[in-house]
Amino acid sequence: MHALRSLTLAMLALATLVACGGGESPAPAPSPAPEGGEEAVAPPSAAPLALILSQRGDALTLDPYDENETPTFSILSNIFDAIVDFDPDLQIAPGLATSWERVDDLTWDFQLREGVAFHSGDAFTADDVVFSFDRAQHWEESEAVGDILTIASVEAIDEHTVRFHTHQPDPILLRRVAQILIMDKESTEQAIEEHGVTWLVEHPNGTGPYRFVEWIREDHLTLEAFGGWRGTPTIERVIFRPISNDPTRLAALLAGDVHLITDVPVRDTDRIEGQPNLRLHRRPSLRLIYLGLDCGRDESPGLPDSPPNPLRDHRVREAIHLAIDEEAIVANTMNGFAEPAGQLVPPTVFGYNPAITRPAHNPERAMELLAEAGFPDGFRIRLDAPNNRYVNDHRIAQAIASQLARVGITVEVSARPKAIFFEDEELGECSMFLIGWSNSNGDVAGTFEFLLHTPDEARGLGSANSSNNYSNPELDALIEEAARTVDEGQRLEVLHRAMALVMEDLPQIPLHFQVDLYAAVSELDWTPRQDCRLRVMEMRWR
Amino acid sequence: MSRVLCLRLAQTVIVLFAVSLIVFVVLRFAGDPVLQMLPRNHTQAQYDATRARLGLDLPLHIQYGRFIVNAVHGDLGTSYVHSVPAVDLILGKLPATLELATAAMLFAICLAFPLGMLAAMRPHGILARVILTGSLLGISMPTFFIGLMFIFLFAVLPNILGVEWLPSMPAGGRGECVAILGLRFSFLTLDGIRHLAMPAMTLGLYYLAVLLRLIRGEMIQELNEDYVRVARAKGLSEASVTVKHALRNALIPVVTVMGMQFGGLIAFSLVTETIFQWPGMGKLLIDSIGLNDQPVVMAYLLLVAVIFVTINLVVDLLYTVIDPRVRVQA
Amino acid sequence: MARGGDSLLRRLLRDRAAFPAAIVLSVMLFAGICAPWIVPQDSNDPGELELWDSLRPPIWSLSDDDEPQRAEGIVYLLGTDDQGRDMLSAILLGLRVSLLVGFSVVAISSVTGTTLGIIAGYVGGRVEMIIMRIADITLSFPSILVALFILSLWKEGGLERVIIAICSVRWVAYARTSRGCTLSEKEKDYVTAARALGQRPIKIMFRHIFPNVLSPLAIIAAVEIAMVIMLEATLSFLGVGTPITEPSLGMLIKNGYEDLLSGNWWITVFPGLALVALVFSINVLVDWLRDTLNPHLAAAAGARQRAE
Repeated sequence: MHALRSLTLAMLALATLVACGGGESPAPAPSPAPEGGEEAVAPPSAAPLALILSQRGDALTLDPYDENETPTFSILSNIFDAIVDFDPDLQIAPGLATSWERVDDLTWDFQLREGVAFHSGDAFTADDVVFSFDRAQHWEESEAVGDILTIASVEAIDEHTVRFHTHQPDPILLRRVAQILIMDKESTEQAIEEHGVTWLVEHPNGTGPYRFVEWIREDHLTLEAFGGWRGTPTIERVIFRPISNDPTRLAALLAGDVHLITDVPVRDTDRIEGQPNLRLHRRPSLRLIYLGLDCGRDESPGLPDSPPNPLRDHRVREAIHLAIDEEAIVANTMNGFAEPAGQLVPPTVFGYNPAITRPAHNPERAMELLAEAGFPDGFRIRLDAPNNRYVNDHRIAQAIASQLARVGITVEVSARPKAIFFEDEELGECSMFLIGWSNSNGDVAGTFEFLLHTPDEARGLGSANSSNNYSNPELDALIEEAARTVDEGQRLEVLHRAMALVMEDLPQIPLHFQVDLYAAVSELDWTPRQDCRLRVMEMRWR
Repeated sequence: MSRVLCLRLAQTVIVLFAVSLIVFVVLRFAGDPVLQMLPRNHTQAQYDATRARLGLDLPLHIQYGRFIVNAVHGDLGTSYVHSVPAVDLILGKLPATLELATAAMLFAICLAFPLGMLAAMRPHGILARVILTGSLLGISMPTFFIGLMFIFLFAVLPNILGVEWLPSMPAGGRGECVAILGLRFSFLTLDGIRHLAMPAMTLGLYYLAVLLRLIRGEMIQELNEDYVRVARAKGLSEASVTVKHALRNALIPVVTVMGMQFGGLIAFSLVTETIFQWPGMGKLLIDSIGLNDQPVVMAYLLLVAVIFVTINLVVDLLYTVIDPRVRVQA
Repeated sequence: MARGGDSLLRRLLRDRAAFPAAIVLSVMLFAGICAPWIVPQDSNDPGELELWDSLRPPIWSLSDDDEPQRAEGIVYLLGTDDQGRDMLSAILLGLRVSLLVGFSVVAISSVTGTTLGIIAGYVGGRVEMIIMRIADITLSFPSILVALFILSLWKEGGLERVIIAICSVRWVAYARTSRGCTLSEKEKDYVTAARALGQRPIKIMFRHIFPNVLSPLAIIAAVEIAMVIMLEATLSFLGVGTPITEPSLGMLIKNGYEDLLSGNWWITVFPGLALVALVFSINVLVDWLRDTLNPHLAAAAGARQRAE
């Protein structure tokens, strides 16, 4: 009992200690010491040892072609380089290639940087580029295939020159190759041979500014500056610490546990702006949140009373557009951190049509249109939405259900985890669905080709059009014309016509563009990128 | 006795087979894993190739056979999302969950004994009533609500609503870790303990209440036994009677229940882990369900089944030993 | 049991803990049952919600800088959530859902479990083995895991599905207890006598054995109601329970979870308090009932199986 009693006392003492220790610690917690005794070079002045970044998710893999999602890519873009790079505003910049030229409509040559080494020490050559594109295109689990469908083949001309052949004239080839991170042929082939392909998941070897140190899943992933890189990163050591819950992540920043967080909850921005030592970073995102509507099938899974499918009637789609009060959603659900969308891309994307404006909220007209279409009492429909993918996704869906109820459309909201929702959407199980899309290459063509072109598997077109079921030969023709047109001015004009056509026909109802919200300690000098990636070499301590 | 043991073991193996069969069949029909693995814009050829590579084109009984053979070798499939063996993924989270469960158990034990004994010593006193009512309240609060209230009191009120007299605690996550024998634990750093305190108390509160009531019940019974009266009559001090005699005898059932509850603690930690973003097995399960990562869900369920079936087996056998009247039927 | 209802009631009125609990429980039962007719707003009808009135604090903590309310004819006594749902209405309707789940699960699973348990205990042999093995498999997982697993397979929640999922794990308690009682009753003289007289098994099981297992089962059923309500709340909190358009108390708590961390505490705290009040008052009454009806059972109070 004595032992028990003293143990109890010890526990109580400990609890008190813990509780009291909580009050003050505005300074970022010291990061774990580097392993292996090798001390990181201390940055100048009082800057902390390591920069700690917190995203919503951990990397799913460190194999660059395995997954295609933002937190993973954010981390990978520090370890790997591509031959062509994007600057923070998505303008083309040199990467591992210093220059390039179009030999003819179907052929491009890239001059590669010399004297570049992988983190393993292997030299970077044209063979690595050929190998990487081959693996990105032909490894059966590659998620990168869709980005580079137009590429027919890649060949090494000499040690520092590669030649790309495309199936058709490709006006955005540079934007496509910028998506492919370059792996080391020698070490990758050897690793696959010796340990199997899953070895690559935890052993990345790139040419990027940061070198992989260690990764404890869902806990932290550490990188350190790579001395052999062409620039000079000022931050020596960086730790990615995933915190999936938005408010918890914010709390970690407020407590000084991390230095920069992504996806700040829209309702909590005031709290950051009220703190002198913190700064809110915002950047209008390319991501459109929209409603997809099944325009094809007469019997549709989310419409219990179909056939007929009311959504096939253009007037019904217009009525839904007019019934949604986007202003109320932006003001309340998004707390002002979103931009109402009048078309499928924001002004910063190539293909935006400035002539199109968003019609005003008009429930009366919506009811008239429904009556004209033969649905004076509305109809019943299920609205599918993810509940953990976009900012307040399920809340937007509920708000839409509420607004549509007022014009007589009875909406049943089905909000589910993203993996389940996306699988259903892909299998064509949805009739009306809330989803997001962004063209990370800064060009509208992807939206049209993947989402709205009549499905054509052989050419890789319309592959994300399975629940939308939209088919419009006139639009198909415009999409294909744009894909062939190399002249920028002409191409823009074709894309404008396509956008006008889509917004007239309304197979999708644009809701808003998200605003990317980050918060960081004010000593951190950084500007968010348009593609949401956290490139540590673009950050420095003040 | 050994015949009974063999019979029970055989039954346990059958139960495990049944569980694995149910889990296997149900997961096979609950969505298409190939679609999960492939990119959005895959071709039919890619689909067929992946399907063949995973062996999903084989007849079901062969697939199940392979699954069992692999499972016996400790291979429960590869995570679709993380591309690493599911067992590795789960076992990698085990230290965090064990740490949380152990801390919760310690918290419960350290408070349950003194409180339970206090409540037993004067069963009708005010203190006993307060303790009992409190424990009933503890049983009446779902774990997730306890967690939310802790967060509200010690993270939201002090940090966000500016209530200064409340101590401020981190709302979630695991604190700084130290590696011991290659496993990472957080209870050795102050930061780690601050992060551990609220989830451990959340998880432990229910067990505190259960344990406390059990200890009180057992102690009341023991204190009414003749030997205690004799001891008292001999003039031994009350504390000595309570602790040396009654407690020692009450300990056996209490320890048994504690052992049984520890397995449950590990499994139930999934709610606590979800609320506090504690990177353990339970959070992995919830995340994997959200990501539709079937091999991980399957592996988790099988591992938990093994743990629980083993506990049940041991308890049943102990029962037979303690009370020979309960004959185990074949 | 022999003391009769009148004296039981008098004992209840005298008890300082059980009497208030009984009052709280009666009020909550009444409010839950009558909710659709007494709520200020039909918060389950999306068309009734006013988005511009979202996230209003409870009436007593409204300040001057809060925007004026848009919807007319309603006072948001306990504030609103992110959709402009009146929290008071949502709690009353949610209470109804929670009670519905609690009572229907207990009704279904007690009947199924008891029947299976008595049959297993009386018939014995292979029948008993199969039934008890199934019970073992169910028990080899914690309830929360099995229910979570079943519900995650459906890919979306729904009231009937939640009820089915919880029933499929909670019948075991009745089955085990009734089997145990049956086993010991079977050995007693009156059953042997009845058997010797040539009575049919079904008659013996339900005429003679059933009344004797009834009293422990009644206590289990009462405890189970509280447990099932908590289990349902936990499932909803984990995102596999009732749909948000027809929320139970657990779903309301989950819905307010993120807002809680943003400082909008009322969305989580009020439904949570309602849930705790409900479960606590049931537990207090059960405890009292157990002590009153059968003091010998009191010692077993600690050995409860956890529902969550």
